[in-house]
Amino acid sequence: MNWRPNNASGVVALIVVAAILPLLGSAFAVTVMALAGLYAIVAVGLNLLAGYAGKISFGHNAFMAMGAYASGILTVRYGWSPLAAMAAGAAGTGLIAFIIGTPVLRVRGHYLAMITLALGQIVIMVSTRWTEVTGGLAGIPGVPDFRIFGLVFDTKIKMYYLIWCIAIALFLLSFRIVDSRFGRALRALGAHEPAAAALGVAVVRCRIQIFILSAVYAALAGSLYAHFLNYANGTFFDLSVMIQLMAILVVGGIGTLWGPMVGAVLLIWVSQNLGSYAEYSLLIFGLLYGGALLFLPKGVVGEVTTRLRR
Amino acid sequence: MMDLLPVLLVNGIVFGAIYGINAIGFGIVYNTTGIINFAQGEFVMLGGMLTSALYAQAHFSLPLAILGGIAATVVIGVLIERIAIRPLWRRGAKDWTYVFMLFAVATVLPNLVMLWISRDPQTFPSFGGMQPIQLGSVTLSGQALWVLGVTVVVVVVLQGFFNHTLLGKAMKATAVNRRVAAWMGIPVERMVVLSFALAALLGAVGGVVFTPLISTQFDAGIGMTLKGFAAAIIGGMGNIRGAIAGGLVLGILESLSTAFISSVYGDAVTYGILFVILLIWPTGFFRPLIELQQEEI
Repeated sequence: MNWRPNNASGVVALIVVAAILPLLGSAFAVTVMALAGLYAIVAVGLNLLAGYAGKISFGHNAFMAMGAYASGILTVRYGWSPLAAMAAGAAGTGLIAFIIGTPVLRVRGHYLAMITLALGQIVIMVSTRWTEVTGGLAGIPGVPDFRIFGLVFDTKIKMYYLIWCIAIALFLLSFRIVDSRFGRALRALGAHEPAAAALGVAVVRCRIQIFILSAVYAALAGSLYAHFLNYANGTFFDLSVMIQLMAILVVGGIGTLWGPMVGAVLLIWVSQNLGSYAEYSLLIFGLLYGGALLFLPKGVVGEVTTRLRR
Repeated sequence: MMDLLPVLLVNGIVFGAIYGINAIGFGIVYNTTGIINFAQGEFVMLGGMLTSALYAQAHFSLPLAILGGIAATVVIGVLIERIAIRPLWRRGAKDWTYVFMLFAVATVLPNLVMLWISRDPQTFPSFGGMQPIQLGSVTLSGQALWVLGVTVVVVVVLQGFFNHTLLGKAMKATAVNRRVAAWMGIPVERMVVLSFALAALLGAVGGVVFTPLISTQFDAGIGMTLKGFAAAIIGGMGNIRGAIAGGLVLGILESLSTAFISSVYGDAVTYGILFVILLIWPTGFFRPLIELQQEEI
């Protein structure tokens, strides 16, 4: 009875479950879990920013949209390879995050949250109206299947595996980051900023770097989303996506390694199984994460780990 | 196009006044609690939507519907503080928790309004009782005069409250230094709930005078939050005159940009301006209350 769950066994379990799910589950379940993988990628990045560095972005839906449009536009109109388009989307999004983050993250307080909220509104609004570039409300249809080194991901199941491979890789990367020198600096500044600064943490640079990284995570997920649906459209990334991401983080457990992963699987599964209650989904998500903040401040993962340690 | 300029300016001023009123609400909550109220714009939406529901669906007379709509919004503001903020406050939650919580509130409220009242834009008649005024080539409608009149009244009353009443001074003291205020015997928690009530009141008043001009909708709150916040930043958090000035600047820029830059992109241009303002002057260019301290605001 001395066995305690640890990260290594958790990751092995995650890989095994992710690998066998398509063998057992229906096509619908595979689609839902592929979507959960996409949200998990964004949530893991967002968790590094909010859970560890203590800064909030309400604009990661916009970063997802940027990744999706970069992939859609570059592959469909200019015949780029999906991998090159994805890399370009990630780099471009990272650059935009740098431009936004640099002035705003110098200031104390939650200006980043407000400016990214505005960014989200701008990007979605412009993307649906700038018809020449984004295809307007019709979006960009016919995004080709993802291909890399001769492998073509032309079915939902293949895309599912691709998404989860990338999600798990980025998840493991977040473990490395949190455990690195940079991660320790990050946690220090999230816990007590003046103390961290006094100990020599380059507060502003750390925050900007983590903001860029989390934006790149979101752009990668957006690119994969475009290939998964063979379609890019800004309306898929409206504010409701951001609300789902917030709920995933808070319910899963913000500032815990496993929180975003668990939250994404749980909440995306819920959101896709609401059936006739789909109309209430945002209300449900809002109540869920408001309630979680009050009654489950460390989220499901935080609560479970506390109980297990007793 | 240039002959349109006076009309555009007047429109900008009328809309800007509403952003300014809302910006004062932002400042009041921010100063007493250090929280950026992401649900501030929802108060504007609630004021308009609840009043229109009382007027059109419950068949109240207009003055009664207005009073009811404002009162209900203030009650909601107090409930938000009680249910969502105070438990976090007592637990000593980290500052980002409030941002998440108020974003949750800003998610739940519009969805409730959408389900219970309407998913369509709502409006109610102008207040009446004011004759339109002809200013050169511009006609100021009765409702526009109401907006400007209410703004002036709000500013005068609030300045009187903060500078000349004990309660107002206590709130100002809490804003300047929460801990010292508590040592001086000011009940800080009561100041917090009062700040939410005042913010809700201001938002609702803004929403009520504004709705007859262009109607309102369940999802209008987020735009009001963004614009009110921008005005508050420009005006310096908690600086009443600054907030109104910030609102007017934003309103006029918005009105001019929609006319001269692009009407297709509408709000995107306004948010773009907001964006640039925040990028260039993240701390605003008027002095915030915290620096004004003993001076009258």
